[in-house]
Parts: sequence; C-alpha cells; structure tokens
Amino acid sequence: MLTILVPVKDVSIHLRVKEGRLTRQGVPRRLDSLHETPLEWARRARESGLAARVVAMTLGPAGAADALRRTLALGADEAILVSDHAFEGADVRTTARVIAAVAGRVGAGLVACGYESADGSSGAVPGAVAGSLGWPLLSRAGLATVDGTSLTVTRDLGSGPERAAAPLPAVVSFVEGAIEPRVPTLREIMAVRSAGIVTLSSADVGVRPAAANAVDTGVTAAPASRRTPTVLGFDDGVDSLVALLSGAGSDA
Amino acid sequence: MPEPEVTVVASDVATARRLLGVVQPGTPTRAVLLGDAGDAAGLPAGRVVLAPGLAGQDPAAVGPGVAALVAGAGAVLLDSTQPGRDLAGWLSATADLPLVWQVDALRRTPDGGIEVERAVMGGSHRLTQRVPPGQPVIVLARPLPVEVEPGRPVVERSALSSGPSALEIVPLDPAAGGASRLAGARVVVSVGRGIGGRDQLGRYQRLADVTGAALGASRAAVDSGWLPFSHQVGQTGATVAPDLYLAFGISGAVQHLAGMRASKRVVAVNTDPDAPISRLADLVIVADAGAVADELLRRLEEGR
Ligand SMILES: Cc1cc2nc3c(=O)[nH]c(=O)nc-3n(C[C@H](O)[C@H](O)[C@H](O)COP(=O)(O)OP(=O)(O)OC[C@H]3O[C@@H](n4cnc5c(N)ncnc54)[C@H](O)[C@@H]3O)c2cc1C
Repeated sequence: MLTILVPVKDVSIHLRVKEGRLTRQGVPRRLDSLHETPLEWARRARESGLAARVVAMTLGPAGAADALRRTLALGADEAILVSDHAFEGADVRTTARVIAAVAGRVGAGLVACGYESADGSSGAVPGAVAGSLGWPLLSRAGLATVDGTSLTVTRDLGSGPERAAAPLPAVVSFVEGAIEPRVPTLREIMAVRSAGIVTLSSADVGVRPAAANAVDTGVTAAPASRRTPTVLGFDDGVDSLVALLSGAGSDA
Repeated sequence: MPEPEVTVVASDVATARRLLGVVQPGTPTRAVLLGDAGDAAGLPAGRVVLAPGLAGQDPAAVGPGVAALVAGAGAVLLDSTQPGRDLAGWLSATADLPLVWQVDALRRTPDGGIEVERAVMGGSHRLTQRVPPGQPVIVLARPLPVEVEPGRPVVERSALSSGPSALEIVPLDPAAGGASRLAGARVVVSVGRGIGGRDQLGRYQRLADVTGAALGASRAAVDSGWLPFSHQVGQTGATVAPDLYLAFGISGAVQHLAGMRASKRVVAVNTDPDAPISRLADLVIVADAGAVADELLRRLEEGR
C-alpha cells in the first residue's frame, strides 16, 4: 500500500539583516502553512483508504522538531527530522537529495510537496526531487486523486486549466486554495507534545552537501521606493484617472 | 579559451529577450529557443540555437535535450514561471549545479566568476551572491524592464527532440489559455478580492479593452477561480512593468508588490486609504472599485 512522504519546511516569519548578512536568527519560526495543503491531501487519501501511511519530514536545525510535531497533530503518522551541521545553508540540490533519500528509506510511492515555501524560496525543490529520483513530476496541483497505479491532478501552469496524470511512483506539488487545511484541536496538539521525532544525520541518509555553492556576499538597503500618494475621493479621483488614461496627465 | 557564454533558455522570443536583459551588456550570450518560439532575428544575443523538437512542459522529457545544449555554459537562465522552475530544479539535481533565484541582474566578476543580485525582504534590501570561477550555475530570473539594443545573432539549429513523457495531459477549457498579454503591457488593469466576485469581472474586462490594457489579478482573485492563473501578478505569477498599473480592490501584499513594483505609475482604487498598496501608489482613490470602473467606462466611452 502507498506511503506518501510530505516534505515540509519550518520557516521564519521574515528575514533580517545582521552585520551586513541576511539571517533567520532570532526570528520566530513556524510550520509553513503552504505545506499544510499537501499534508491535508495526504491525510484525506489515507482516511479514504487510498494510502496506508503519511510520513512528514523536514531538513533543518533541532528546533524544527516543533514544526514536525504540528504535522503529527495535523495527521501525519510519523515525522522525520534530518538535522546535521553539515547541512547548514543546504542548497536546492542537497535538499532534494535528502528528500529523495528519505523517500527511499520509508518506501514512499509518492512525494507530496508544497509548490514553494512562504519564505521566498526558489520553488524549484519539487522539480529537483523529481530529477533526483527519476520520477515524473506533476506541479501546481489544485486537486488530486490517487489510485493504486497513478496520480491525476487538475492544475493550471499558465496556459489554462488541465487534467494531468502520471504513473506512480511520482512527485506532486500542491498550490493552496482548493484543499482547505484543518485546524488541529487542542487535544490533538496536546497529544503530540511529547511525541518522539526520528532524527537522522547526513551519514544516516547517505547524502553529503554539495561542495560548490553560491555564497551571499552582501546585503544593501535598496533605494527608497516609497512614494507619497495623492489621496482623492470618488469625483476628483475619477477626474484624475480619466486625465491619466487620456494621456493628458502623462507628465504630471 | 573564450569564457563560457551565459545561456538563456526560453520557449518564446519575448521571454528570451527579457532574460537577456538581466545579463550585463558586453557579456557573451547565447539563446536556446525551445519549440515553436518565433522569429529569432534581432535577439540581443551573440548566438541563437533553435531547438524546435524540444517542446513541452515535462522536465523529464525536455530536460535531457536542454542539458545537452547548455553543457559548457557559464550560467543558464530560465524564467520564474512554473515550467521554468520545474526545469531549473530538474537540471540542478541531474547536472549537479547550484541554483539561484529571483535574480534581476547578472554580471561576470573580473576573476571569471558570476555575481547575481536580487531583491529581498519585500524589496527593502538587495542581496548579492557570487559563484566561483569555473562553476556553472542555474539562474531563475525575474527580469526588470530594460531597453536592449537589437543584436545580429548567428543562428544555428539543433535536431534534438524531447524524450517520451510519462504524463498524460487533457486541456479542460480549450477556450482558456493562450499566453496572457501581461508581460509587455503598457497599461495593466488588475483586480483583487475587493471587486467582490466573478460576476463583477465584466466591467474590468471592458475597461481593459477600452484602454488597450492587459487584465491582471491578485492571487486571491485567481485562487477564487475568477480568472485563470495566467493573469496572476506577483511573486508566483507574472512580473509586469507598465507605464500605468491600475489596482482595483487589491491590498498590496508583498508577494503582489514583487510582481508590479517596477510600474512607472500606480493607481489604487480601494475603500481603505491605508491599504499597503498606497505605499507604492502615486494616486489612491478611496472609493468602491465597481463604481469607479463604471464611471471611468462611461467617461471614456462617451469621449470617443
Ligand atoms: C508563497 C506565497 C506566494 C504568493 N504569491 C502571490 C502572487 O504571486 N500574487 C499575489 O497577488 N499574491 C500572492 N500571494 C498572496 C498574498 O499574500 C495576498 O494574500 C494576496 O495578494 C491578496 O490578494 P488581494 O489583495 O486581492 O486580497 P485582500 O488582501 O483580501 O485585499 C482586498 C482589498 O480590497 C479592498 N476592498 C474591499 N472592498 C472593496 C471595494 N468595494 N472597493 C475597493 N476596494 C475594496 C480591501 O480594502 C483590501 O485592501 C502569495 C502568498 C504566499 C504565501
């Protein structure tokens, strides 16, 4: 029976600049709400008997265990934390390889990702996971159904809505909107408070971080882009806008 | 040995031109055009490779051919659309290359390395990243509008074609689709949750027609199913830089601003004068979006 692996991310609410570097240090973190969508989809697949097991995982510091506990409250059966100093600043390739290695380890037939993460990431990890595993990729799924041998999604890549199907094993990425994540009950949250999280190292998963990487060399304040707007009500506003649209105000 | 070219990969000539605009002038460049990409004459690249047989949006099918064509490039630029991200991730993993994203400027450093820049922290700061000499890199680009002098590229043809795809794809609305006209538009009429519903769209569509504008949308409007994804402006959607961006009922979340910040002039129609979009607007009209659109239509259509 199908095991679904859901890679999630523990994200900081924002970034900050410290001594000319971008850092997430000292910024509150939480489970990326975008990744609750694939998790909820996987939970429903298991509830309706289309999957046997839902495993959540993340690659991150020890503190990411809290985000993983939340995945358990949201319905994951198991949670795996891959944590190793060697993975600090891991790039897209390394992240994808770790996810691929865990997929192999848990015997996943489907990797269900979010299409990007809320902290301004690349949005390229699902494609990289598919490349690492040599599995087909269905990206930007709104809805999805799975049977014993294939996955079918509805999606829009920018050229209109379509239905796309791929044989299993496969990688899928979900957008928000069509599947409403649940809000865990207090009871569910309490129940997982002391739940054990499996922690794996670089050696355990057999992945070494990529050597050649892009490095941050500096952060500078962008020239101020704040404008001082003219604020108008309906009548004056429409007058100004008509003037703008007719070209009369083009150098105002 | 000449330094490896910076290679842009695109499925249409307009995208290739915008991607080339990210690269510092004077850098040797090459454009790889996938599928039926249009007329390459005048593209501002040193060389163009036409690959009409490499088409489609399944990275596993087009990826191997693209990888063969870009082998040896110093940097490979793709756009940040979903197919662009999928292919970039696939290439990064299979060719074992680092990947950088949201890049709007790329240059060579004197030592032969590559330096890229992007906006971070909602646009308040810029981050510079460097890749050491001799290390190729995959670049997901988010081009800003720039005027680029036309070039006279040497055009070659590649006979490579896509491999078999495991995906089965059925369009659900053959009438939808077609690339949206957002990217090159001079005027964009954009709608958000504040317009109230899909049944309200007609007047904005008409306003776009009357003013020769492209129709844009916030993610809230797209997620609600009012417009297809091709209309989405923002971090996940299209980047636009029109002379005039008209936002009806859009609050101005950072992810939306990421796609329209470079607009020359921004007008917001919003019942809330303090909506975040006002920080970027030249003019805020504090009024009901539908009422303003109707009055504009009346005045513009009357003036004809
Ligand atoms: C990873 C990630 C990526 C994202 N990518 C994008 C993206 O690419 N593009 C994007 O747009 N968003 C994106 N978002 C979502 C973004 O954060 C906002 O949720 C979204 O832009 C809000 O859309 P909106 O402004 O239409 O809706 P709201 O924020 O709900 O704003 C509605 C506005 O309408 C006004 N209003 C209400 N009634 C009226 C009326 N009668 N007349 C006039 N005005 C009225 C309100 O005052 C309000 O300002 C992304 C989010 C995440 C986490």
